[in-house]
Amino acid sequence: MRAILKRKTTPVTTDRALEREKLHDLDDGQVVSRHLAGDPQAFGTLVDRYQVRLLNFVNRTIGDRERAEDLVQEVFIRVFRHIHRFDQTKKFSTWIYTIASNLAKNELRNRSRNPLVLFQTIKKNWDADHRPLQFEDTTARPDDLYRKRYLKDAVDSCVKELPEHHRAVFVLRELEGRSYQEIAEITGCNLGTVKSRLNRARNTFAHLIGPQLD
Amino acid sequence: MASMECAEFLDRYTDYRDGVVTAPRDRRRFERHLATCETCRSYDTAVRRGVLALQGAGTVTPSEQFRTRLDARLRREALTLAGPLVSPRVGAAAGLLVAVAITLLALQAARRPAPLEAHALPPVPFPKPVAQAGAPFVTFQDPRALTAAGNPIPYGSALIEPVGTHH
Repeated sequence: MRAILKRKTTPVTTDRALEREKLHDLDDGQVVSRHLAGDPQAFGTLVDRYQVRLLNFVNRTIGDRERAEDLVQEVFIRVFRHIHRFDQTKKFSTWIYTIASNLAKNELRNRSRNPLVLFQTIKKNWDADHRPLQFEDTTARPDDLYRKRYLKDAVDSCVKELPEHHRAVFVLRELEGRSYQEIAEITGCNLGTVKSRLNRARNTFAHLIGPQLD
Repeated sequence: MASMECAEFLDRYTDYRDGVVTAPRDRRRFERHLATCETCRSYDTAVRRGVLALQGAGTVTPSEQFRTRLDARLRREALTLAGPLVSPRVGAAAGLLVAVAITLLALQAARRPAPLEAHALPPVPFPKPVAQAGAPFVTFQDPRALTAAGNPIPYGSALIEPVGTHH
């Protein structure tokens, strides 16, 4: 009986895996079309592609990992709800990043109205500083570990110190590698504003990180 | 070729770093300034090394519950978007019921006799109601009759006079 069950289930799994493989070979626009045509696995492919990138983008923008996860979930729900309205002549990545950027902006706006959230974030970071060392990579040398962790904390805090609207532009350019045009579309600014914000963000970042790199 | 000042370097640094400055002559001006100006060189180094450190700082990955939670929410969302679920059998029965009701209504309308035409009633003079200020008093008497009988206040109002005032 078990043998029969095994024989029956194996081809189905293989088919689904093959189907998923095929979807991974398609570009975003084609995956969107497949989703709209009723392919049940297509949306999952989009989630696979963007979940980590969006989480890092939102996390860098708002500086709160747990809240960033909630916001990324909300991004996918909104995309799912409105995907039929997506203009397929445009880039899907720009569209999804625009939604994420708007949600992050709202989050920062709400947070500035509610200082309690900021306090919670500070508390969370304080807890992170006291995390035991066994979570670290123990194969590396202690001085390398220290340097790596120090540098990571330093760059993280420098990015957090940038003004909100400079930070989003900086992260999109330096970490996501977006073009000026894409950044302009995502943030809803014109090209001139994007360039000026990026220049100021780099300037501030250089002045903050410079002394810590020596 | 004019040498570059620090202000111009900092102002146009984004263009230089992102490769927007493509003219060889312009690029040479930037490179020459970097070679000679210690402050701008350390600024450029700080940006480059800082960004490298940022890129190497590692990425955060979603928690284990992230995907499970998202899939559950997406399933709920799909149900909401699909609207209320009606089985095909129930749908067919409802359709049949509506069709029968429409047929019955049509049959009843066909069987109903045409309404008879009512004869017009002869015109009847409507008595004129007359109201006086003060206590409400309305009469349906013909005012002309009262005038003929010597009522100085016509139009149906009652004339009450003390006895002996009439001559």
